[in-house]
Amino acid sequence: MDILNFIFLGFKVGLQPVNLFYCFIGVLLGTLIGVLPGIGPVATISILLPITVKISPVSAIIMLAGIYYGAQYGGSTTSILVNIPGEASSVVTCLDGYQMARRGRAGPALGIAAIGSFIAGTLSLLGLTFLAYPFTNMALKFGPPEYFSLMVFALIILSYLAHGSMIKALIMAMFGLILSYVGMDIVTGRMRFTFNILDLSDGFGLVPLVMGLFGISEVLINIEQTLSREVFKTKIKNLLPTLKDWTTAKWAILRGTIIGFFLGILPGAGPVISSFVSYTVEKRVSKTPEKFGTGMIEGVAGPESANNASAQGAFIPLFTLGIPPNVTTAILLGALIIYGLQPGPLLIQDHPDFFWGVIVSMYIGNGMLLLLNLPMIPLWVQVLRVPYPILFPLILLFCLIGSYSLSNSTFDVFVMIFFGIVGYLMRKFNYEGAPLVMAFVLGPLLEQNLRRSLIISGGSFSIFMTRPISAITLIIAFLLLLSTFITNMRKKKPSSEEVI
Amino acid sequence: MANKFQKTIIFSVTLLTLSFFIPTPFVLAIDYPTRPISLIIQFTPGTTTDIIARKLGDVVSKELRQPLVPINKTGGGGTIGVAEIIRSKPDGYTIGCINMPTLAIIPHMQTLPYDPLRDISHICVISPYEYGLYVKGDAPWNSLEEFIDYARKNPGKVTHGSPGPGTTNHLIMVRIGKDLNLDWRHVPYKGDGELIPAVLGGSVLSGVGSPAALMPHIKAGKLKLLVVTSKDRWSYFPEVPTLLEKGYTYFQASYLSLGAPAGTPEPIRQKLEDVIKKAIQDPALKKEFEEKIYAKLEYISGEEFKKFIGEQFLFYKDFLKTIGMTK
Repeated sequence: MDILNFIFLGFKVGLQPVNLFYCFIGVLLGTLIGVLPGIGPVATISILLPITVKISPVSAIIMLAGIYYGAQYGGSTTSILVNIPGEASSVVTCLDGYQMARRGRAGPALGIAAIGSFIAGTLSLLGLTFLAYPFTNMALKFGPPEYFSLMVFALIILSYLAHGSMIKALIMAMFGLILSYVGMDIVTGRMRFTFNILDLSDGFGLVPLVMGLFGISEVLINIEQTLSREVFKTKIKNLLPTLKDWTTAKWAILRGTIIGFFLGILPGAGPVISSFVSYTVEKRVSKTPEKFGTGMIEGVAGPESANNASAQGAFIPLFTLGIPPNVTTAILLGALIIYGLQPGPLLIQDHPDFFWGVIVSMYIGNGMLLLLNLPMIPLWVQVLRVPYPILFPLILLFCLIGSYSLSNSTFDVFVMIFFGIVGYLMRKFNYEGAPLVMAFVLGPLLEQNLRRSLIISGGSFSIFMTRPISAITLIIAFLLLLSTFITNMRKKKPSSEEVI
Repeated sequence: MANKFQKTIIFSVTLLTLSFFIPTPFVLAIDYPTRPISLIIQFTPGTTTDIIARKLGDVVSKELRQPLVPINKTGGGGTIGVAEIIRSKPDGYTIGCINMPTLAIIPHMQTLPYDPLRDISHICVISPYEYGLYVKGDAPWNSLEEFIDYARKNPGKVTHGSPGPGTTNHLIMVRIGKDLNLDWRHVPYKGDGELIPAVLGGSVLSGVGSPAALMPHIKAGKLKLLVVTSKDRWSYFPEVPTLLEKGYTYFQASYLSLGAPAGTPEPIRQKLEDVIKKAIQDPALKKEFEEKIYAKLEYISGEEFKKFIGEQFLFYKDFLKTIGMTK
């Protein structure tokens, strides 16, 4: 079979010692920067770009790709250990991962995150290998109406993110939507709510916002409570997930992989949205949804698998179409151009050794990441033992440097600090950050695609129902909404009968 | 005596200190540069502008014997990078890339912290941004005339996409539409990364893009070029005619230029212009740029470009007013 020949070719390229070396460097660097809050794959890849022109294109891309998906592995570490997301896509991991750490189960949380990421990465790579073209064609069929309906669906399931009061979660979602509309209006080109501040013309950056809301606020809360807080007493033997953990989590991992893979292909979506959707799906299918937020392992396994699958899935449009679905793959695209490899529909045909070599090295890279991350768990767990007065200033330092490194912008640092204060206040009054972030990410996609659809249809709303994919998505969303009502009404019924 | 000696010391130190404040522009140009120069790039790494700037930076570094250090300051369609250039000290050690819209178009749409006509000391143009109108590969139109004909017969049904509102890609289509009284609709996207899949998938009927973005798709037959909207035909597809050839009196004029903050000493600016002019007129470098990154190197003097910007600024002031996009 043709594909098998290609895979052999890929192994020949991928297993060369020099490529193995660069793969290792890439995933190691990726894990490290994934752990450090703020400093992300974008900054690292841009710094390394000039150096990589000295080595062969295949090796360079292997290393850069390794950094990208390696960062997804590392991002969960700080989320679980100190409730500070290393990446925007690790925000959801904070919700249950950190709670697990507080109960002395940091080891299993880290372990299931690593294992889930490995399985998701490998499975979605298989998808990339065998299903690249059909999926790309399907993804292209997603036009503005389909995106809009998908976003409506996502907003509706967003309500499941709420752990406490539903009203408060909705308020946070509204706040997130409002924040997302700061910036340039896509149709008129006018600035909205920017108060003539040039740095706001593209809106608030997602990463500084998330780092502030979750990271800086965590530091502030801990400074306030240090004296009354108990130090974690983690037992060294409970470092790996138990069999029970595994049986609970395995379906979450599978679901997360599928969600992440699909959402990673769609241009514009990506690891952040997939992790949120996976979390809400897990909560919905769980038999004990009210326990989410207290340390449910599916709440870690699902989202972590989703963001890894999404990172691998993003390579599909990059390689088959030459179109990068997010900023990091866009830089990789630039790298390909610098190396003289023309990305696009003909890349795979013209340079099979390159394409398959990179694919095979991604398999190898995922394996390396698992081997790297699992033994490091005891090491990471020791971090919890560092006294707060030392740990938190260090975290603050990393956050400040990280937020600047995103786009060499001091404004981003101010955004982070501002949202840190907002986040602190939110915590004091028991408002959750997750619905805000989800709405913030969805808001622009929702608005832009609504307006594009209406331009295309000439102002008619029927376009959302006449196109099949869009119609189906909206109907499912509506049914979901309905089912929530019915469930709530059923809960109320017995009590009213009792009263009578 | 101690007093006289002290007086002498004070006098000499004062004289020495004062001498530091004497500007010596002519001396500077001969030693310039004595330390690395910052090159501000207003787009993210990996974009065509960034690649051009970095490659050119390498060549110029060798000539000047000091490194040109690229610093990416992105956002606002290029305005953040340009604002950074203008904010910097005009000592010749900070220069940067400028895309024309930041000086001629965007100032009419939003309040910017700089004066686009006075705050830049133009070094020179390095590359024209080339564009062309494209449609899906299997679309029924093979020329601009056929597409316009279809638009005439189906008012309100033809959509043209752009990588953003206020880009020259958007405005050239608006201009053609107004000229020919066509009712076609603009669908804005965020960058080519969103626009090209939209055209490929059929959500929008046409787009305007650069050779670098379109090359692989045209070669694979997934997209086809109807007409070239820049001044000259593309060397990669010489059979596709330009707007000018078809009788239009305008084209999509946009340039990538290098600039320094206003007040940069003229000898330094001139030296930079000379070095860069020499670099971009080198046939080997031109060929490399064309073949590897599909970019055309073209020199236009800083002086001429300043005039051009002035003209375009006035043109867009009126044009944007007629389509209601002014602030």
